[in-house]
Amino acid sequence: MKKSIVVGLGNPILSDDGVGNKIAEILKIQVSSEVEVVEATLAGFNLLELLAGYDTAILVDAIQTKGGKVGDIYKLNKDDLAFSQRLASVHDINLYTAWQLGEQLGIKLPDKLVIFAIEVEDVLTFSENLTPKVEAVVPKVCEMVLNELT
Amino acid sequence: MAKYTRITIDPITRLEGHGKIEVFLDDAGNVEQAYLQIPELRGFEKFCEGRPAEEMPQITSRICGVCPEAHHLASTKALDAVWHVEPPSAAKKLRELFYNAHMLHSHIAHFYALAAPDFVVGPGADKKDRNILGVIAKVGLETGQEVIKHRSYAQKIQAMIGGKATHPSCGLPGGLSKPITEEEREKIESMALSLVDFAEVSLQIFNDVVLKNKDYVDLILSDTYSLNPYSMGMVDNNNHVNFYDGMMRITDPEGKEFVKFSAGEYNKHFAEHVEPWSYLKFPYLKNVGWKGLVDGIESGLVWVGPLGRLNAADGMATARANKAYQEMYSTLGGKPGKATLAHHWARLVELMYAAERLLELSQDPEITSTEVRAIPTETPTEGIGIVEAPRGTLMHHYVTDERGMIRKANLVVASAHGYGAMNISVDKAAKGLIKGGQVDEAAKNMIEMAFRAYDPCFGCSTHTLPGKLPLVIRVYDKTGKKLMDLEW
Repeated sequence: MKKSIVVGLGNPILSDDGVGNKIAEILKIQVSSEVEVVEATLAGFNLLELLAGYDTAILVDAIQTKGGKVGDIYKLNKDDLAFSQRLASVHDINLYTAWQLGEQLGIKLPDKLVIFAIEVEDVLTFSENLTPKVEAVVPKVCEMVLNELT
Repeated sequence: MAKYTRITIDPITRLEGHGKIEVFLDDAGNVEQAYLQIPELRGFEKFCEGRPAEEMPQITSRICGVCPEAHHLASTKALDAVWHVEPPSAAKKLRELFYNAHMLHSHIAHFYALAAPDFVVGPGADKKDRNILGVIAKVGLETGQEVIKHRSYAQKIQAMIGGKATHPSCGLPGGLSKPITEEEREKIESMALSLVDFAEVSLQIFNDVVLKNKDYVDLILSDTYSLNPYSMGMVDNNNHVNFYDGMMRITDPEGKEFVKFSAGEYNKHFAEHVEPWSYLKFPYLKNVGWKGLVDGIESGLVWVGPLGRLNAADGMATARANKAYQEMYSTLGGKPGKATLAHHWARLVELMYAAERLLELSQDPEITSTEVRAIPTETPTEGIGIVEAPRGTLMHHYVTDERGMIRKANLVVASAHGYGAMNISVDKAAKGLIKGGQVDEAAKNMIEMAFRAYDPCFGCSTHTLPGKLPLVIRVYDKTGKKLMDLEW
């Protein structure tokens, strides 16, 4: 049986930054027991440890792009990572670097990596709620993640 | 009026929180002034008001993904004070053990992923090589594997005590939620032994790569990267560095003790200054005063973080770390250390201390005691908790009603304590490195190095104006006249 993990990245108390966490929360009760669903705050080193050993990994994160439309959903792979809020979190190493590091050090990383990034509005206000346009696309993203797992 | 050209270094690479450095040039292309600016997180106090205070260690550990464990423990200590309860000795030791594991994982990540690229790969190296991959290409795959392994050990230890590594749930007013077993203790001891060896290797790498390279030593000791503010850190009864508990000690720019105070007295010693161009306030020593963004004995700005802590102490409480401490100050020309880039070295001295202290605590017979909680019996009121976060002094202050619901919450985080000093360092580096309007990639990176030495992380430090919307940031000339609005 192939092993899969879904990681919701973000800060659950910083408005839309928590969209990844919210989606992970929902997916936890929707996926089969073989799929691990977790929430994480940081990319980089931690993520490397988290993903090691899985065959498939799906990451869900918030993103803010220049001129982006709030609520847009992007499907990315590791090569176009640089812009996601959390994945580009640079206190730690970013995921792209972490991935290369993992490969260099011989860590078993997933064969399949898909990243869903949601264009968000507010990541600077302390709140446990998403803004309406972001909230509205949560079911759609959940569906996209589930499709990826089948 | 002089004409100004603006250079923006954005984003600051390898740093959390999307900081921005603005450099202002005069007619001759030399630096008039450089500023460090950061975005603002809003509404923290409002978010906390009315919540049960016991939730604060969980809430505050989510403010920032970089040092949740530091917030968790500062918050837990504030709850001890709010409920006027003294945790049992075993709980204090276990908290300290947990906390030293946190320092280890943070310092390992900073040195190898953030500091080493500038020294091991070189400050002027191509951007694509100036990262951990470039470091490993130089120091070897085996060292890379050791870095990952030991960082992971530190995480595992935190998870054993904290419930989970990144968002611990162990802290309660009066102690901890659970003790550790003998089996867990043995595992911790074995990992701690390995971490001590790893810290030794890290100091050796610094010695071989940095200290044996005269150019680097000259760079570290150069005026461009030099500063002389007050220094602050937590100390034990012997004035040795402690990260978890003790008195706050502040030494002056000549190295003499200026004041020593307990956490509860924090507000007697610190005030905050507001600048029109910054969302983040500048904490300064009340009894010295605000003199602007300048260092020296007349200015109340403090250095926190590794070099601030080591300057403010008389030594390290463990043998190998103390030896490394003495060696560092002998190269720096005595105390206080004034070299901003020596923060990296001080961080490695602390790495050794954290590993040795972890080992000591793991071998303490009391560490597996089941007496890890004193149940609070007093009415909750108000309290302050302080720990030394990897980046410096972190203060949580809560006021509750008689049911323990939060009425007021204020945090002053490490990067805020060091914000004034950081700004001066950035300004000095910019003035030293940009001449005649010439700014190449190496100069840009070397300005960032002044800043990166502090390991700042602004994700959590910007909630000091709760509820206030971002304003346009403006720049003023010396006469107070507005020169331009800055885009954000």
